[in-house]
Amino acid sequence: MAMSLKMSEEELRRLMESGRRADGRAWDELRPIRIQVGVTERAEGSALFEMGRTRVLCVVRGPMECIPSHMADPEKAILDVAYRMATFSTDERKSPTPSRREIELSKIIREALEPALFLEEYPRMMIKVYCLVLQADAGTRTASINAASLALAHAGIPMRDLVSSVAVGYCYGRIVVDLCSVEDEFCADVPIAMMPAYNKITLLQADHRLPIDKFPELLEVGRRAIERIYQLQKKALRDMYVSIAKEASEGE
Amino acid sequence: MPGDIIAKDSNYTVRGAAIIRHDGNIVATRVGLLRIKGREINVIPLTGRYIAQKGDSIIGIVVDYSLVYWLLEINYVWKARLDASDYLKRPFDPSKERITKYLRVGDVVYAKIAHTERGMPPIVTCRDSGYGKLEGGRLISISPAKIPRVIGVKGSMLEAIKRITKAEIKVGANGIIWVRAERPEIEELVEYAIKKIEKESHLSGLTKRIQNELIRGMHKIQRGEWQ
Repeated sequence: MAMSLKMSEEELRRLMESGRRADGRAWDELRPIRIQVGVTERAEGSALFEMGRTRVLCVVRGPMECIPSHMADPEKAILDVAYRMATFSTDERKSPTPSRREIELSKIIREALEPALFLEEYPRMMIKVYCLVLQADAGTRTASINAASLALAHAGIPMRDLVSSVAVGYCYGRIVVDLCSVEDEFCADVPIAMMPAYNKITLLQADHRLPIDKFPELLEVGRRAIERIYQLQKKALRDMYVSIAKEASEGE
Repeated sequence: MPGDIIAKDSNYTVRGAAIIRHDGNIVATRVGLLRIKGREINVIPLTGRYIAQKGDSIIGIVVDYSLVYWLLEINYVWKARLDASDYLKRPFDPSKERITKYLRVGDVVYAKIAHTERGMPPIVTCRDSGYGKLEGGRLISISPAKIPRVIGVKGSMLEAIKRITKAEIKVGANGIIWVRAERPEIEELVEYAIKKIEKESHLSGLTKRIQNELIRGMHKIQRGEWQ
């Protein structure tokens, strides 16, 4: 068992000013990413997305009958996103009761995914997306969005594009990509989600003060990072079928 | 793959639901295989749930009934309704006879989707020839997206399986396949072959490979070596 990295604000500031990041990465370097598509068999779609020590499992069910039925929309499908953190995902046990934060993030993830979907093709139906954070180390909403868009594609739900997401931060005058938990604690954190093929932003949050003139640069750094994640997502999706091809040729 | 730009040229005719046009580009919306036939472009999805379409032949399992209709589980968002008169091909009077005389919960029916409406349960019928209750045999459930592969180009795969194994097979577009053969071992062999088609549906030369496997399997069965 490993506790997450702890650092005081003063320590982080000194480290950053000496030109280094809390975990030794370059300013625009992503944490190591590992993706697996198709991890459960009962549901239509599933994906596991790992970004450093953040690990999210996403499972998609549907299109299915809308439950509760009074929620059904005769014009389009309901996208029901449930973002939850496992009790064992944090240093201290997390209460399994859905917190205010989890409900808010469910809504944010839903709104980041909705522009990519053709919900109007599935009237009165429901598409369920479960994001379970297995291990939390900052960037769980972005990892959830990345996992969810892969699980949706795996479930065969038509999408305009995969949605890719990353958090960009502004720390002591530096723009950093994919914040880890220490940086997340003390820096301005700007999660971005995009449909890269259309160059469209579907999520942009900023819960902290940061200089407005840095914003275009911040977006550009985020866009480049998202492009890299997008390529990894596509590779993971393709790999699922390539690995089956390999097995088949070995079986000959 | 979703978001992949397939073509920049808008001279192509787009077929199927896995493709959209955007800004003069043709873009995929699902994970699938690209088919270009002349100027016609199509993406054949590799994953996804069954979406009922009028005219589909499906296999359903009776899960509930009322005085005049049965409800079939067809692997879709809603259960399908099969009216007694559509099954019996004659008027049905619930005051004179009971519906469970003909089909009970758990029975398997081969039927055609007669009607679908946005946001409503589909209605199925057995009025055309070839449809009706399926007795004996076994059911195989696979991903509905793989059904076209099981049927093959112009039915070639299905014909090959039928020819080699002499089994009776009905393929439902909803991902359920019914097989009945002389011996249970042959049914097992067909199930094995169909599962293999499902798994390797995106690979080429599949029909040939499956044929060889089936022929080998049949020899084994005849020699009593199949397990």
